[in-house]
Formats: sequence, C-alpha cells, structure tokens
Amino acid sequence: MRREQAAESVRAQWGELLQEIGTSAADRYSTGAAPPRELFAAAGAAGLHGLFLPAALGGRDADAVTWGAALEEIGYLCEDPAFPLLLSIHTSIAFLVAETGVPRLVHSYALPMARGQCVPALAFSEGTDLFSMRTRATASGSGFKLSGHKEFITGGMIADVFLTYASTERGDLVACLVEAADKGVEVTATDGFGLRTAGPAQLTLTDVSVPAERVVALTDGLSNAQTFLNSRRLSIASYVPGQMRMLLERTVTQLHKRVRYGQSLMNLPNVQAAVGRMYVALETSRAMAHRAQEHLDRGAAHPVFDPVISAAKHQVTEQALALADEAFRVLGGHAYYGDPRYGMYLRDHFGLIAGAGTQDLLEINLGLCAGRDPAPTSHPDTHKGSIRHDTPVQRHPATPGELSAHRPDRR
Amino acid sequence: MNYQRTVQIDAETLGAALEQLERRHPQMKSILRDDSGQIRRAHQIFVNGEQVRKPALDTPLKETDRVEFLTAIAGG
Repeated sequence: MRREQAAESVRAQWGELLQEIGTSAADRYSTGAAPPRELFAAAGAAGLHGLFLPAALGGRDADAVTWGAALEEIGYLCEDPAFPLLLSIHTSIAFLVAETGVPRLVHSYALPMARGQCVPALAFSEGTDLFSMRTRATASGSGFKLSGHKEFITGGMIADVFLTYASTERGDLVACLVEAADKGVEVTATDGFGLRTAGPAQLTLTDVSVPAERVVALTDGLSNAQTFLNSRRLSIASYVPGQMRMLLERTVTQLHKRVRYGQSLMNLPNVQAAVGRMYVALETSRAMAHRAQEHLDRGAAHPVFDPVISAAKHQVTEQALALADEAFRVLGGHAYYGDPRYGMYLRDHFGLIAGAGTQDLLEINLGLCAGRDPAPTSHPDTHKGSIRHDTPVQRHPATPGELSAHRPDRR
Repeated sequence: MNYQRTVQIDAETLGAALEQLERRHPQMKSILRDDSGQIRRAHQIFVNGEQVRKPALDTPLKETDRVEFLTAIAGG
C-alpha cells in the first residue's frame, strides 16, 4: 500500500513536471544536452528532491520503501532516461553532505542542493584502482590544493559543485567540494555511448584551492565513497524497474498495432513468449529492488558494502538489458529505426554495467561475501579451518587477507 | 604480501595484531588504516567467522582466534 501511495503521490504532484522534463528528451539526446538547470530548480521548488531527504533539509524523511517506489514511478513517467539518475545523484550527495553535521556545509551546500538550487556531481573515477588515485590533495593552509583529472562524471556539465576525492600526501583519500567556478577548474564535455542527456563530463583541476570549510571527509575518503556508492546501487535498482515497465508497455502497445499474417504480432506465440520473458525480467527486478529497500528499512544493511543491495543492482542491470534485447527482437526495424527511445534506453542501460561498481567487481565482492567460511554457529556440520579467503577486490595484490591471532602464552 | 593470504601473529588485541602485520608488511598500513590510524570502514572484519560490526583497535583476541578482513570495494 505504501508503494502505491508513493507512486500515486508522484503522479499527482509531479506528473506534469516529469512530463515536461521528458518532452524534449529525444531532441536533447541527439545533441547531447542535459535537462536545463531551470528544470532541476523547478523540481526542487516543487519538492521533488525533498521526498528523498531528511527533515533537517526540509525533506519528508521517507523510508527506503517509499523512496524506492517514488523513484520507480519517476523512472516510469519521465521520458528523459537520465533524469531519475541525476535526481538520485543530487539527493545522494545532499544527504552525504548533510550527514557531516557541519553547519556551514549543510547551510551552504546541502540545503541548496535539496532545493535544486545547487547542482552537484560526483568526481571520483579516474581510470585507476582506488589505492592509486592520481588526483592529489596537497595541504595548503588549513585546506588543500587539488590537482588532477577526473573522468566519467555523470551530470558534470550542469554541475555547480563537485564532490571530489583526492589522495593526500600520506596515502589517504580526502573528500571535498570543488566549485565549478573555482580558479583552476576546467569542465569539458564527454561524448559517450549513452547517457547523453546526463551531461557527462571530465574535470581537470590545476592547483585548485579548497578551504577547510569545504572538506566533507578529512580521512578515510575511501570508505566515505564506498558508502556513497552503496546507496547509489539502491537508487539504480529502484528507478530502473520503472523504465523497464515503460519499455515493456511501449513494446506491447506496438505489438498490438503491428500486423503479420492478418493478425496482430501480439497474437503470435513466439511473441507472447518474448513478452513473457520481458515480464519476468521486470518482476524479478522489482522483487530484488523491493527486498533491498526493505532490508535497508529494517536496519539490516551494511553501510559500506551490502550484498543484498549490490545483488539488486546487479540483477536489475542484467534484466534491464535482457528486456531491451527482447524488445529489439520482437519489434525489429521499429525499435532500431522507428522509435529513438529504444536506442536511448539500450545505450543508457549499458552504462549501468559500469555504474556504482562494475558488474564483474560486484560479482567478485558478492562471491567473497557468500563464499566466506561460515561462522561456527551457522551449521553444526560445517568443516572449519581449511578454507582460505581471497579478499582482494580491484585485484590489488597487497589487499589484506586473514590474520590468525594468538595471545602470548602466559603459562 | 606476495599473495600470502594467512599469517600467524601473537597479539592480545586487534590493534596489536595490526601493528605486527604492518611491521612485517609496511605497505599494508595505508590500506588497512586511514590517516588518523583508525581501521578503514571499508574493511569488514570477522573474528572466528562472526562479523564485528564496529571493530575497535582494543578488541580483545585470544589464542587461536582467527581474524579475517573482507574488503569489498568498487569504483564509481
């Protein structure tokens, strides 16, 4: 019921706005233009961001089930495939900044982000493993000077501020806010395979001064980023089923209209089977997303890497692509040439393979979690003592394994 | 660690065990700990198969205890 109410609330309160944002999507996709910033401001003013944010930021403090249902509905209603992605990134960053509890950060950044007045983006990936980031944060006064290059920034072209991770001289990662208007900041467009309405960009930093007041995490930025990415996976798992639902309905509508051998395509058994597979893809994705949302609401989720949430993101990604594959097979030239939205969907959802942790890295991590030697109490027949665990992820040779600790003998 | 996955250490606490590990393999320090010396939250720690939700350096260890690190991290 809560899910239905959340979906109905989205339709009633923001349906028209989401339609407006989606109207220009196909044209903007061809030119690679993100939604106009004014639309984010309008969405913020209409309270769309606030649905996902804590009361301290003027939000509604929705739980994960409500929030996930709303995101799914936004994914379904908005024809700009990048909009729910960008919206969830903006609110995730606002949430993370608010969680610092630093009044200045909250007042100057989190609150404007929550109102859609300040557009943030994540500047994290740079084509290295996480222990080898080349963007440097050199201590300067009470703050830092940042130099380096960040690739693959979703929404970078419309961002006012970048949540940026950089290596310190001592090998730690610091997280701080870099403003697009800061001296030494250069933002350039990336012409990628998909997500063309997401404003993808690269960021080059040359001796950019960042005052101490803009530091979000002074130490352990690695874990800070992983916590952020953990929440991103749940967002992806939540909004993508809405887009899958949209594509399934669009496909079925077309199949009813198209005639072969004197009957609609939808009457052919092989087409019915394909639509059946699409339905299974959608409903298994929704089931995984719902389970992950409930898992979080129960307080059972691990904050840094949660297997249930990661499995949901993985499953939804694979099923979203499988659903598109089926659509192309049953619709043939119509999907390929006749309606640009099929291509937009396919290209954008290929991006999920890399988003918030590549699929293969998630598989490795999930294998590590599921393949752990069970605790002694888990099963009385479990054999102990001979299994060794591979802990490295990112294939880092120096990642720790396992210690066996002995108390010094006091006899 | 030359792909060595298990080491034997004599220690009474988790912090003491880490110090010994870091003495043997200095490159581990910045991976295991942040600049303030705390264990990075990205490492999930298990003692005898049970996850320690909030691992502290003074977590006591006894003889034959087995401490495991599960480091599940990914890019963005």
